[in-house]
Amino acid sequence: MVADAGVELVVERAPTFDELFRQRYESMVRVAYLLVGSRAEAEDVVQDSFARVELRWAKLENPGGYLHRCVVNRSHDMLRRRKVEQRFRLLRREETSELQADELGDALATLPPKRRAAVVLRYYAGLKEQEIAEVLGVRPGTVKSMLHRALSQLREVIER
Amino acid sequence: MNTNLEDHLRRLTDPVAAPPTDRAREAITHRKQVLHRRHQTRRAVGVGTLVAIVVAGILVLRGGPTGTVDTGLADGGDDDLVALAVDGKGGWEVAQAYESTGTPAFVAHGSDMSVQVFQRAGEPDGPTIFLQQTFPTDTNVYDAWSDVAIGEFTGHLLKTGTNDYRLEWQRGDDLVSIYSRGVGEDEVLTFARELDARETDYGAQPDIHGTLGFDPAYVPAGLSEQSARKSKQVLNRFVDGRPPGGELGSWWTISILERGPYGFETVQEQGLVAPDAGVAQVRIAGRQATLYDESRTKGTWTLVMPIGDDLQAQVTLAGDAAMATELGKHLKLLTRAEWERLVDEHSSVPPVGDDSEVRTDLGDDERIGAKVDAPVGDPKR
Repeated sequence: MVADAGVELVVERAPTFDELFRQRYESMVRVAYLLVGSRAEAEDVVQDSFARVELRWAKLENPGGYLHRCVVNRSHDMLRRRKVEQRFRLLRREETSELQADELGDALATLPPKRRAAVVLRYYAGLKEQEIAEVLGVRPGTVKSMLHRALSQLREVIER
Repeated sequence: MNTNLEDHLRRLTDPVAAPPTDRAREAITHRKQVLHRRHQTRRAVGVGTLVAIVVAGILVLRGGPTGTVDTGLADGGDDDLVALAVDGKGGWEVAQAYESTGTPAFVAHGSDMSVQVFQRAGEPDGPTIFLQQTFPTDTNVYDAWSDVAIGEFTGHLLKTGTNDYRLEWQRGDDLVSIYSRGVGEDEVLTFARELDARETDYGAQPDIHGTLGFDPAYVPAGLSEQSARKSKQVLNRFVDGRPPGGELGSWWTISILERGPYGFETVQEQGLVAPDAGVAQVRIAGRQATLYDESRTKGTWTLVMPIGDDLQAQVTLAGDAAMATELGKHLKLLTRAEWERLVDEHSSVPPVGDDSEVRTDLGDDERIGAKVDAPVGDPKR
């Protein structure tokens, strides 16, 4: 498209669902992996999240943001479910976090889920505090506080 | 440090390759269809009716969410009934049955929450307010709840029984939950509104070992804060298995817990009950029970019912409504002798962790706090 002054204006077209899937699937699996500590469960979380996005696709103003929110929420569901299943001894396996072989993974696992999500979204997914606040459903000031506390906990590991 | 953290996180995910394959796309499409069907079903019948469908199968619910239920459950007298299991028919078989003592889950795993219990001293089964402060794990849906003002926050209130309520509100980053039993609505709301938070920075995560939690300025008459933190040993009985022909991931489990504060609170704390679960009060063989429909959020159904004078059963099924219906048809109350036979026949690898002390001899005077010498892995010894 060319405007009168001869300046080319690029009109950004919203991605289709399949484009979003291709662009974001792997990165979302990695985000979920950092949250739940298991690749299989991370894929489960992300597939479920994409399904929810596709289901509401026509109504979503910010599909990428909604996807992040779904991934975080489903990850928290997964952690909660894991806890319940382990409580009932139906999950015949050891602690499922593959991350725990790593010191940082170990430290991440000790963070409360929401605080862990804030760290991953900020320092892995590169979201801004305002965006994280929208994903987590909290105020930006709360995100700042959560990150501060999380970094304090992680500092000892990171600075080794 | 931040750059280091970013590098560390990237290194952690380096081994994770998950390309957007056709197979992944197909899995998403399949899930979307499942979600869509669930959504349509719920829209068509509504939460209450869907609960009624399950209850109709499980309990033959009459007259809406609260009614008298006619089931195959035999009521052989409270004194002699100690457990609930399946009858072994139609493929509904027990995979394992065992007993254990242990620390209640909400005490053992309370590192990310604060828990406070308000009761009359010495009346653990009496009026109760269970107050919990934790992090919200999902975007809660409060469709069937009433909005109420809790100070500067909007709270959500749900009546779960004749005089039982659930009340939740988000306080900054925390979710505050109240589960009350035998306390009036006005008293519950006043209690909530008069709470004085010990931690004023509500961006902080609650910690059971810290100073978080609340100091109530108003407590309903006769109630006082009881210790919820001491490591009390309780007796649990567990039965579990998989539904006949159930899909991978489906399972059922029955936990029989002592009633009183721990049985009551454990149900809530374990996350067995989602905030947006459909709730129905039902009666089973003369007992009041509560059915929670969480099929939308967690794919599970949970029935909480008393057994005898001092035991409470939680029946949880991860599966679809048809399975829940079938399970209901095969529930069976057990006498002590029947339970002991079941354990003899189906004890297997005992649980580990908080409930690792397996017991087989359960005299009434030993129900709490006793241990046996049998090593883990040998429950029959």
